Amino acid sequence: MLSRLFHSMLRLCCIIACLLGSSTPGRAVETQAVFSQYKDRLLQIRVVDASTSAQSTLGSGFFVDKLGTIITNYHVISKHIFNPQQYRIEYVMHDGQVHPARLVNIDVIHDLAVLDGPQVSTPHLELASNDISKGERIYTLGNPLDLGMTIVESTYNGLTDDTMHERIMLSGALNPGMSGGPSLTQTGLVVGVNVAATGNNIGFLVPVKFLKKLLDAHPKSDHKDLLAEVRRQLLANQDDYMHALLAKPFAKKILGDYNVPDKLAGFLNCWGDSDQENKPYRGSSTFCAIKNDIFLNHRFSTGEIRYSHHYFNGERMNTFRFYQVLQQYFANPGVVLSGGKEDVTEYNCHGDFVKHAALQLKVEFCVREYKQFRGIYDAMLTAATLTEDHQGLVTTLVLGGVSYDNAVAFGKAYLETFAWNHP
Amino acid sequence: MEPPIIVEVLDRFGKIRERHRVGEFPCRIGRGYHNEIILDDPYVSVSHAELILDGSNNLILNDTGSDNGIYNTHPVERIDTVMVQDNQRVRIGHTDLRFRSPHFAVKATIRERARPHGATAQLGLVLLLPLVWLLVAAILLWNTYLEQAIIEVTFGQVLYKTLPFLIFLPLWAFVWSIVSKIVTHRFYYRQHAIWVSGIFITIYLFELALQYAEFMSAIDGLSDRVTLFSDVVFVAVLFYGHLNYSTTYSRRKAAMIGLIVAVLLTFTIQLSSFLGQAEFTNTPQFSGLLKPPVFVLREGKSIETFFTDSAALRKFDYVDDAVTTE
Repeated sequence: MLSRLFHSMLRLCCIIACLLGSSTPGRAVETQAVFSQYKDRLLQIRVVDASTSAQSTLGSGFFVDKLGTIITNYHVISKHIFNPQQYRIEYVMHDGQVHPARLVNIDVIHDLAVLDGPQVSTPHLELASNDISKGERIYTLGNPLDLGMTIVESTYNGLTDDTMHERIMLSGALNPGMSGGPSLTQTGLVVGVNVAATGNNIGFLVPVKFLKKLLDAHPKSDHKDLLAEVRRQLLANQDDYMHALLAKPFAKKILGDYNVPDKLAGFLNCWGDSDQENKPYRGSSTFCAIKNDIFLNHRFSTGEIRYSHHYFNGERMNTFRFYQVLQQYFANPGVVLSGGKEDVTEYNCHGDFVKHAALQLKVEFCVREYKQFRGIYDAMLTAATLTEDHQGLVTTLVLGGVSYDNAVAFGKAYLETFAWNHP
Repeated sequence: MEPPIIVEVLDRFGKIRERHRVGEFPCRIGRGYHNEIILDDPYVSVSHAELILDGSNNLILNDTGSDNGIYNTHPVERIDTVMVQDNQRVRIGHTDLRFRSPHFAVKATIRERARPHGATAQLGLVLLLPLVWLLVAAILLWNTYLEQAIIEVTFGQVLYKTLPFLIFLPLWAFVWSIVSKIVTHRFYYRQHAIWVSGIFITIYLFELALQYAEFMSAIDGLSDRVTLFSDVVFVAVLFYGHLNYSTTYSRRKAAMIGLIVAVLLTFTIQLSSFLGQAEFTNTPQFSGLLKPPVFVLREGKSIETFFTDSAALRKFDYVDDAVTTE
């Protein structure tokens, strides 16, 4: 009996020891071990301004094979792609050595870039081939705020729901400068590439499957090839989501006495509001927009899809005054897309009266072209109803980075969704 | 020519500065104070020329050794001596002299514009001004009421916003009346106030009509294009009216000056705004006019036709390094 009691106490002590052994100090040792083991595969990526020889953009990267192939984010090196004479790329190794890098390939949709450097036979990171489970611990590495290579312990939270492009969500402190760095499992396998953070310890990674696809793609020989690839990817991407959106009739809902397009896809965020304070009319608005867009350069992003509907009821108003309200919303749709004079043309616009489903509309359709990627446009469509004296609707649709044919097809489907619901 | 003669001293634009009746000869002309005709022109010599009668009673003009000579104006040639003809014009230094006979016929007297007379005319003006001002006030109040459409407003608030302009118009008329008093010695405040108000009402109604025309026709930029032309007409009429009233210019001359000033002024303003518009903008520019449905006079197009008509939008002309290859 005594020996049985002794063995029970011994088992209890072992259990307590194990529990103590798995507390924070032990995890810190693991994190340290991961960093020590893999730090020599990490890099700081710099884009250097040729005229001042000073760094213009900073990010992180890592070796992905023994030939010295480097992975980083597209947005880290975007200045080089648009102005290769003015900006060059170099990388800094863990021991401080600085080497020039050549841009070999890009994935502008998933914000990835492949570089080539003179280093060969380098230690490198392996890519994970299996998915990992939600809640698993991962290690995010990079060079935040140019303060030196760091490692952050994060929690893998799986793929984001309802975004146009798959991203991995993690709980961890991603900071500027860590873009392009790897996120690793405990065994050092890359599950994703750091790409963005919202603050509040929420970060995003590009899943490793997109990295594999990019590495398998044919490398590009020169600057013109790379820009052509950007154009090809933008056109292919918008073709994909446009065909998916246009494949079925648009979802509708009722706003006032009108049928209007509702949330058209899961990757759109929608909100609504009503506003009657100190106004002579009753108004309701809905607004939908895509959750993320595509970075092209520091002044220019594309890929927007957003639309809004403003419904007004002015029963107590004089008709002329009521249409003055509609005019203020129609004439000022609040469309300000990014892009400078070097990136896009001015808008061309065409307006006219349109009749559809007992609705009389005034419609304006405006487009502008991307100067460096011909055949890609930003489009705006705004319409106002002209059917009733004291009720009306103003709607605005914005599409960024689409072909002209897709802009027209979407615009048609959008307008065809509107109807007057009056009994 | 036979004496006596009239010697007209002209400026470089041909306007008469002085007239001298010359009956005694020789008549000396120059810059010196010993001359009978003294010319205040630094290019004229102290003793420059003289007018004499020859034995046949002809009038002769002689150069008396001047530095810069005497020139005939038609044709332009230097002369040392010439027999003076009626209406002949010569240049001495930078001064033109023209010779006229005393029988030269001057233009008819311009009759002063009659003041409105009679009780009816006076009464009409007295009643007309308050009526016009009431109309202006009504237009301004209505316009402000429309512009404040997105908020609840009281009559007091609308009046408060309109007051500065209601005060500005009579003050503007007052300023022009002072100018009129200086130029023509007539104050004419009521007339100026009616004119200023009338011009305001005309411009407002014209621009309103343009807006409705642009909306109904759905032609973007229609009101801008017509306004460009109408601005020239308005300014030309304004200048013509003022020149015709306050100067002795012929109607044709006043109209020409009015038109030239209007074109130059409008061109300068358009150039300034054009240079401003040359700045790149990230927002679409289109006619955002909306009016009540009763002003939609034609049936709308189908959605298909609308987009077919928009096909030209996709064409942009610019030189660039665009990538087009797949």
